[in-house]
Amino acid sequence: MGVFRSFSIIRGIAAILFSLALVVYLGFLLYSQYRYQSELQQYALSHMLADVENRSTAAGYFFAERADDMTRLAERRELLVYFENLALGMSMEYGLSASLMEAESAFKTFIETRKLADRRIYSRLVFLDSSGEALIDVSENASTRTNNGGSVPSPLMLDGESRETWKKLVTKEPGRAGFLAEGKGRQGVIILSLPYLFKGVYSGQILAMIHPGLVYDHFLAESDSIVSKGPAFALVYNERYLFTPDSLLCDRLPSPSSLAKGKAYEFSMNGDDGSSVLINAYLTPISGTPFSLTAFISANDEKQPSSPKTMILVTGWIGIVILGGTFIIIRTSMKNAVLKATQDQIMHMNVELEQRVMERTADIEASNQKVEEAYADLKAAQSQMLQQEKMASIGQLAAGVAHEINNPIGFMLSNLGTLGKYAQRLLEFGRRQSELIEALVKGASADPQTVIEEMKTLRKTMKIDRISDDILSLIDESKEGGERVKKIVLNLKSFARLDEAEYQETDINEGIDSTINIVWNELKYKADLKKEYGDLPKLKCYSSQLNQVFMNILVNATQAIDKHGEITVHTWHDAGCVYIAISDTGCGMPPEVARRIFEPFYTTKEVGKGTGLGMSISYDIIKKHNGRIRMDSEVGKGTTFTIELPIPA
Amino acid sequence: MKRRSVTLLEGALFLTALMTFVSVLGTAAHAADLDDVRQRGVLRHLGIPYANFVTGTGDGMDVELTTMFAGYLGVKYEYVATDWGTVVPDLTGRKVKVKGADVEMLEEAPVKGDMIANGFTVLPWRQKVVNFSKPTFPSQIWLIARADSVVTPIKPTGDIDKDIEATRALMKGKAVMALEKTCLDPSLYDFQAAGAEVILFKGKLNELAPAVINNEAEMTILDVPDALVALGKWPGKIKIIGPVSKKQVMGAGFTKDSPKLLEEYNKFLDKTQQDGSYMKIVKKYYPSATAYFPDFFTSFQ
Repeated sequence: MGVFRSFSIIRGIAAILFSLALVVYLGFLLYSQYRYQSELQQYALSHMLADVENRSTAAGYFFAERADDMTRLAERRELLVYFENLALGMSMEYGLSASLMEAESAFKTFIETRKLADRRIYSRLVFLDSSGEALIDVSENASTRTNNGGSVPSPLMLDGESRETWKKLVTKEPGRAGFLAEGKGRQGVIILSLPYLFKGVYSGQILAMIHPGLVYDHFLAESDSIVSKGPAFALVYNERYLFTPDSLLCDRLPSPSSLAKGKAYEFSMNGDDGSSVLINAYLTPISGTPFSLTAFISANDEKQPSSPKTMILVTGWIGIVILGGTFIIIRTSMKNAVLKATQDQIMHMNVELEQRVMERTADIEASNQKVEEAYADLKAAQSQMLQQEKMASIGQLAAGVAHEINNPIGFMLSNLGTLGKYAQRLLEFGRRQSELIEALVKGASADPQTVIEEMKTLRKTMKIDRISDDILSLIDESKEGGERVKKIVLNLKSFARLDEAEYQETDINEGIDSTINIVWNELKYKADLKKEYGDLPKLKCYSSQLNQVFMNILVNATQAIDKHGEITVHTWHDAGCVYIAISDTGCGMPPEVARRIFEPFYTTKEVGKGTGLGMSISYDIIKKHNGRIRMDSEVGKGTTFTIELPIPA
Repeated sequence: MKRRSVTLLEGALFLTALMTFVSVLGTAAHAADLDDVRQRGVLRHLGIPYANFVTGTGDGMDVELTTMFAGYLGVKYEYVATDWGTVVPDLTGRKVKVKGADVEMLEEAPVKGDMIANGFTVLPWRQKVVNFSKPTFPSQIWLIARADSVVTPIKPTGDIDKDIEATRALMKGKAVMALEKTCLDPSLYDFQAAGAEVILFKGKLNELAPAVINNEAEMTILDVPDALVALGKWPGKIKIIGPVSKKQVMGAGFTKDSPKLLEEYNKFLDKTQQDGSYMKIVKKYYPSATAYFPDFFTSFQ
């Protein structure tokens, strides 16, 4: 037990010692790290200050070159020529303006060719004459000659009250270009001013304008935020900030007058996260210019950029970020799996849906096929009905015509039969006469008187005289029958207009007459026909089609009369239309029938007696002629169809 | 003897007729309208080194325009050097004698070119012998003096007639150099009425300004394009006194027998003025011309 106990004590002491050693070692590590960080920051600060110094020197060189630019511009031959010609007394109208344009062109070229990192250095060049008038004024984007003192674009106005502004830029003493600045920030401008002397006499002032943003962007731009990202710089002119980065608000910064070269100025300002940050400001003049450079460096950046706490915090944050990232990845993967399953399900449903769509499509196609077949059947039936109506009309026509032709043909045939008998008898009489004359000639019959008596007897017996009279009567009668047939055929031709072109000028009254003749057989037993024809102009129409309409109405009128009635055909016209009214004194129609009279396949006749297409076809024919057909009917009194056909203008 | 003299007369008449016929044939053969130029495949540009129209070193505003015109026609360009005394005969095939605004046609001369383009000012006598294109450049005649001349430039009044009158008044008793058969021909401006002592210069048009600088005369006249070139070349050596003419225009010259070629040139000129190539050439050779003739150039800018 004693051995075990002493072993436990030793083990505890060892653990304590190990822990102490570990703590000491950690403390040593932290101290070493702190020292190392401090030295590193000191080195970084001195490096930064050297960098500020270098930037200041570079900017100084830049401004010195610009001063040289002004000298070179003043030495331009074009300016000299202008002043030479001016001194010779030349006027702008005759020669001098050409010299001025040459000088202006030289200024433009100067602006276009002076560049820093592909950006034009000068935003504007101005030449003021000794009286202060702007002779040349060219800018980066456009050039404007203002030798009449006219206005030019901001930021520096050269006319009116603003003239006082540039007057302070004028220095009549020869020497290098001087520097001034106006405004601040992006609206500010750095101005170089150089007096121009012609033959030792002050003759004007050259002004060149540079945007301070150019100087800042090229020599000073480092970072947007001094609090978190290191040093930031500002350009100072006449104890005021001429150009500062957007993150530095001037009212937070110390006044440039409180800054001194080589001495840090400490102040605090709000950091990006709103916390107060300690800032050190260092001022460095730009040699040869009235400008200075101010560097702003965060105190944190100088002394403890990477403290253990920060490192732990940073490590913790990194751990959290990694854990968070892992969690997000797992969650995303799960979501993806769910999405994949959903997608598979949707795809499966899509396949099913497509299958169904295909089936439905097949059903619809089959239905369509049936509908098409039904439609074809319907078309065939309609065609058959139309054919039936046509055949009915033809039958009606044929019946009338047959009856009319039958009578004359009957008695013509009867007459021909009688004439045939008469001819046989005459031939027999001739033969007998020839025999008697032949016997007389041969001497077989000695008495001619006897022969004559025999011949008289024979003539009487064979009723030759009556036959002779009857023959002429029969021939006249047959001729009359032939004439009647001829007239019927002519009427038939007139009705059908078989010998005429389809659409041509037609006498409507004549068409009605020919139609009446065709249906006369049907009409004459049922009604008295009354014609009240007006004097109609000839109309261009399809006459056979119109005749078909007239026939339909006349036949319907006849059929509407029960025993005996009257049919009146009345025609007249006005300036625009021809009117045909066909009235009957038949049974008339009730309104429910009258409403449907023009519907296709509508008929009140017995099944098989009418197709129901007659009036429908008539309606279509009149429509085709741009006309109208109207029906007025009263039960028990009769019906009137009125057709209105327009007379073409 | 009588028979012999008749024969000689007939012979002389025949020869004259033959020469006239041959001459007409020859002229007709050289009449260079559009079809002839296209058939030949070459456009012959008659030029005289003058200002920046034809610099004499292979370029110039009219050289560039005419070269472009040849390209437009699809033919080769050929520069034919001539001078002010022969430029019209070289185009028309007839020598001329100028008397103010009148011109007398003289004997025939060989045709050397198809068109004249070298700052050719439209003058009344020239219009009688050649057809001018649409204006290619504006101009005016200015009086130039040596820088040390006691004559001082006029003060512009805004009235061109008064300015010309003031300028002419300054010429009285002074030696003024001019060049015949050009737009600087003294007969065109009646210097004698102004009391000037006219000196007819025998050199080239481009040499008038240096001649004044070299004391050959106190003053000379130059057209505006040439005066602008001279001001740039010899700054401080010459000065512009004032105008001696109203505004003029220059154009390309064509024979009266080349209406189609002239019409094609006018179409070409319209095209270049619309597409900006004309103004590009103007600004290249006369950057300040637009300041003096804004009315002329405004529509092309």
